[in-house]
Amino acid sequence: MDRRFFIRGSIAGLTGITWRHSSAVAARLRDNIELRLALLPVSDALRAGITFGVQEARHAARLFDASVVLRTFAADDINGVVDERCTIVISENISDAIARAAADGAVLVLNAGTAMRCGPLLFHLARVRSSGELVWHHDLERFGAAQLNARYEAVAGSAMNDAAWLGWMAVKVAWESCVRARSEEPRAIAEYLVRDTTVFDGHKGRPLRFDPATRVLDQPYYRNGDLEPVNETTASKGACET
Amino acid sequence: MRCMAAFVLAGLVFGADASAQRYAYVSNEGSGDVSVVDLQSKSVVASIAVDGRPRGIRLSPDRRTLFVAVSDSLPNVQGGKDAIVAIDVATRRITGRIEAGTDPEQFDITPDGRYLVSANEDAGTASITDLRTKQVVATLIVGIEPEGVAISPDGRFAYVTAETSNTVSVIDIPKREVVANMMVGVRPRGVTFSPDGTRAFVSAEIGGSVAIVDAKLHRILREVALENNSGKPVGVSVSPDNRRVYIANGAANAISVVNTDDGRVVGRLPVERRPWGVAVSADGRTIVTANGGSNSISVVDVSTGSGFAVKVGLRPWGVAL
Repeated sequence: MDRRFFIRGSIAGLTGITWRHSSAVAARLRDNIELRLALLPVSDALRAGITFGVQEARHAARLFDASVVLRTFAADDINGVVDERCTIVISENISDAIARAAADGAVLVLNAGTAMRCGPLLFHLARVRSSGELVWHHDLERFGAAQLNARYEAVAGSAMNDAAWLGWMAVKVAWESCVRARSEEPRAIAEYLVRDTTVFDGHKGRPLRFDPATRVLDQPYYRNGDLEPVNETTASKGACET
Repeated sequence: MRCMAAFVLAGLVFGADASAQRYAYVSNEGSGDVSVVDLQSKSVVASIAVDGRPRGIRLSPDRRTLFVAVSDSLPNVQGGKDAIVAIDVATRRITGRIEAGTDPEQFDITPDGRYLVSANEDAGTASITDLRTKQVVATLIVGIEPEGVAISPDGRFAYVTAETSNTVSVIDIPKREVVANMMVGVRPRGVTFSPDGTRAFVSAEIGGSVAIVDAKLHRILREVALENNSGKPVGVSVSPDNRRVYIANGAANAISVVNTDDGRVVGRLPVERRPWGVAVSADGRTIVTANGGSNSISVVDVSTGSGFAVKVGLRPWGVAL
């Protein structure tokens, strides 16, 4: 059977594969949980990863009668973000307007780009990388990487690259934080993200954590042609560390 | 139990009494076969090729049939090798291949031997197969990348872990319906029930912990940190007297021993490299681990911590006693 058809068919619920979940007795996380994400202009590759991440987050949310909403805004449209009650912003660049909104506690930013700014509600999915340094590669196989690569390819129709992984990871961080912090409120999520017990699985074989000093996600990095992790720690982590 | 911490399993030939079950059955993910290990002679007495990648492994309640989950080597591809292979224990011959959905990884069997519930890793589903008709009778959507499966001792509920969504889905088997979902530690892998059915235990590989679950209310009671959260726990098994849960910590090369009532870590049993699967003998005296990093099983006497190792096939994954 064609790989893509099979995956899509399974998730969509073809005949015989059903969402038979009893809401009457289902263990709900919290009443009416709704994660509202704001997406600012990003590259196509990052957008594809975010779209895939939202699909997986919605699958998980449906287990708990929860929902995940993604809205798209112009780069400086912070009023639109607030009006739409989006509390987490995913971006590649952090404009002055978004940085001010984060400083005011209106939003928490998950930055998937390389433009670093420092602030208590500004979190970065990766540090500034040197040329050829990667957070992901579609040839990774261990630690569930093959499964992630295959799921992404089945949905997106292309191999998961660096930007796509960052987009997927941003949504995963947002969803899990919202659920485990039991809040969509930006400061509550920020507090959760820097707890020493908070870890994420990026399919890289070890727990991934946000450095509380820099709010950069610590993780293995790779180089093209070499899939063994390199340079996991660095002296140049982010804007908060000067 | 503290004396266990000082024990280092040096390799071969100690004095574990494995008489309760003479044979251990080991699925070898790398070599595509099942090793039959005679625990008395401490040797492999048979190797059964299964044509595919074997992982989950269980004996039927009557212990006459060995079931092995087999899939192809590629994720997310439904291939002809995806099946539960049935092996006659007496003759050690394959007697059938049972449909159990795509890419079956782990599974469990109801105590009456009627139904088999399997996790379909690539599809995000769990399948219920009627073993009388050998047909899938229900396919239910669970979390993302499902893996571990355990059925409650009364046969009513199946718990299915999902590695990517960090969830456990609770399936009511007679109703063929998911009736609850729980968030657990990060990257949940193994799951098992206590023999009395009051508790379930879920390992979290990246979280480095085991969750203790109230199996009547389907609620997490506590998360217990293992090996400073760095042990990468996978397999879990409970002693027949309900008092201890044994967790295979793949990265720590050790078994954690945890009190089931209060969650205290009360012992540590070193074994060979990368223990993934773990099983306890019916008399509770012996633990056997499948060690993926050393192509061996470790056989450990619970009371003394002594034991021995036996080389098996490549990348042993699961073990049944």
